[in-house]
Amino acid sequence: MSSLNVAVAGGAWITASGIGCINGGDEFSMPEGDLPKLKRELLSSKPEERWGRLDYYSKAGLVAASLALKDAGLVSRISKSTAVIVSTVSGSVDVDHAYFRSVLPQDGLLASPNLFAYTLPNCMLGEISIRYGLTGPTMVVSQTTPDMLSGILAGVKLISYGLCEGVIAGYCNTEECTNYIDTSCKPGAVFLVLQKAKEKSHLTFNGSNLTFNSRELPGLIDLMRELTQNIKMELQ
Amino acid sequence: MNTVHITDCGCVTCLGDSLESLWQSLLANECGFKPVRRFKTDSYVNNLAGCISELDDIPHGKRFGAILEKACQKDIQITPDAVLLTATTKDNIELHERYIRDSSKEPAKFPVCSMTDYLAKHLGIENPALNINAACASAGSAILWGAEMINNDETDMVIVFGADIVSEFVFSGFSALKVMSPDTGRPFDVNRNGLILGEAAGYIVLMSEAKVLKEKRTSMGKIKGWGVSSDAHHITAPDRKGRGLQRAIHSALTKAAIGDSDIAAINAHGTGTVHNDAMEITAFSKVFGNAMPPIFSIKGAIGHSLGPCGLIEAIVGLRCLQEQIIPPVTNLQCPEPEIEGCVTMQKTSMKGNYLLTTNSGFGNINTALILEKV
Repeated sequence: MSSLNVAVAGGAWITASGIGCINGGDEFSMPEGDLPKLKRELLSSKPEERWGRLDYYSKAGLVAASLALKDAGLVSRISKSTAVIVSTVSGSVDVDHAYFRSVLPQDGLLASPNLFAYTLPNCMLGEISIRYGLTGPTMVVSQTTPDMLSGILAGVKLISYGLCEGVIAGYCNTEECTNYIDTSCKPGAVFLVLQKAKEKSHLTFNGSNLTFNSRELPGLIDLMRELTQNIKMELQ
Repeated sequence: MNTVHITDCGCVTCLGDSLESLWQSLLANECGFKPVRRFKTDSYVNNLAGCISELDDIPHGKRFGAILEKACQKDIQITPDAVLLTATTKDNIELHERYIRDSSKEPAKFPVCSMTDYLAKHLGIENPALNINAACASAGSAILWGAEMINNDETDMVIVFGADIVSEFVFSGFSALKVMSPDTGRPFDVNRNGLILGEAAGYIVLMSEAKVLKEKRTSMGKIKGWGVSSDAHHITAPDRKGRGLQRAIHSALTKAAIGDSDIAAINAHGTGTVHNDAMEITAFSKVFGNAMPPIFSIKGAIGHSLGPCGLIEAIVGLRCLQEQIIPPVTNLQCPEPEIEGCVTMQKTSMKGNYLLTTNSGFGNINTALILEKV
C-alpha cells in the first residue's frame, strides 16, 4: 500500500476535561474522570425527538461527530459517501446492563425494546449517518490496544481502499476501562473528519501507522496534541 | 486488482459440525429449530431457536468459548503470518448477564473481545487482529475488509472468523422488538411473521493468488466483488426502497467488473421479517429487473445467527457454486408473488459462475459480496 496524505478538516472531543474542537484553538487533554453531562443544545437549538432515547455512549458519539463536522465547516456540505468508523473498549455496555436489568423482573416480560435497540454499538454510527444523510460504510472496531487509534487507522484505510471519499473516524468510550482486561484506554469521545489530501500534508498514513511531520504517532492523545498545536501555530 | 481466493472454510450450526452436514441438511430441507433449554422462554413470543444441542449442557458463561472451540476442531489451513479478522455482535454476552444477575459475587473483568483473544492464541497468529461489529452485516463487513487487505497487498492471507450464540439477552430483545416469529421463520413467504434466532461459528480463509501458488493450495472459489452502504434511514428498520442495499450491490458488481446478468443466484439475508424481506425484494427487483436470478435464504433452516450469518451464507454460497445446486428455502410455503418464480421451493440446479450474497443490519448497514466459481 502506498503512503496516503490525510487532510484533517476538523475534529472535536468530549473528555473528562471538557468539550473542545481543533479549529477552535482549544487545548486537548484526556484525563481519567467523569465525562461531562451532555445537553441536547450541543446538537441543535431545535427539539430533538430521538435525544431522550439515546444512552450516553450514543449521545457522546453523536455530539462529538456533529461538533467535528461543524468544526470542519461541513455540516451541510459533507459528501454523502462519507464513512463513519469508531473504536471502543466498552461500547454499549451501559445500555447493555440497563437493558438486561429490564429483562430480569418477571422473566423478561418487561424487557425494554427501546433499550435493546441501542445494545449494538454500531447503532450510534447509524444515528450519525441518518442525521447527516451519509451512505458510506459504518463499522465499530474493538479497541484492544492502549493507543486508542484503531478507529482512526481503520477510517484512513477505508479512504485508501477507495470505499469512501472521506471518513468521520474516532474513538468513543464512556467509562474508565478498569472493568476490562488488558487496556488502559481513557474515557472520552474523539472524532476527526478526514479526507484524502490533494497535496503533501502533515498527517500521512504509511499503510500501518500514522505519522505527523514524519514522526510516528504512538496514540490518539499525541495525534490530538499535534493537531491542536499545529492549528495554534497557524493562528499565531 | 489482486485475486482473492478462498482456500479453506468451515462452520458449526444447529445443523451439524461441518459445512458438509449443513449442506446436506439444507438440500434435504431440514429445519434445526428446537425449544430453547438454556433459559426460560415463558415470557417470550416463541420458544424456538436454532440452538446447537451440545451447547445447552455447557455452563452459562462458557458457551461462547465452547462454540469457538467446536469451530476450531477442524485443522484450519493457515500459516502464522495470517491476519485475523473477527465478527461478532455480542461476543461473550453471558458474562454480562451473570454480572447483572449477581454483581456481588466477584469484581467484573470483561475482555474487550474474547473471540479475538482466544482465536489469536489458538491459531498462533501474532499479527494485530481486528474485531468488526456492524450488527448483522458484521461478517460481510469483515470479509470485504479482508478482501481489501489482500487486494491492496497488505497481506497474503486473512482468516475471517464469525460467531454468536443464542443468549437470553438477545432472545429477549428480539422478542421485545416484536420481530421474532410466534411460530417459525419462513423467509420470503407471504405469511412470514418474523425471524427465529440461531447460533453459529465459522471461518473462511482468504489468500492472494501468489500465496496460493507458493503454498500449493487449492482454490475453492474467489471473492470477486464487494460493496457496503448505509441506508441513512432508521436504526432498526430498513429503508423500504432498499436504496442502501442497491448501492452495495452496484458497488460489488462494479468491483467484480461483471454485469447483473452474470449473477446466477442470490443468497439473500432473508430473515423472515415482514420489512426486511420486502426491502430485499424491492432492492433485487430494482437491480435485476425482469431477469431476477434464483433467490434463497438459509435462515428458515438455521435461524438468524446475527454476527456470523454473512460468513455462513458466503460459504454455503461457495458450495452452491461448486455443486451448481441451490438449496430450497426451508419452511417456505407460499412465496411472495413478486419473486414466486425465483425463490427456491426445492433443490434447484443453477448454471453460472457468480453468486451474490447480501446482508443488512441494525444501524442501517448493508453489505454485498460476489463469489466466483473456480
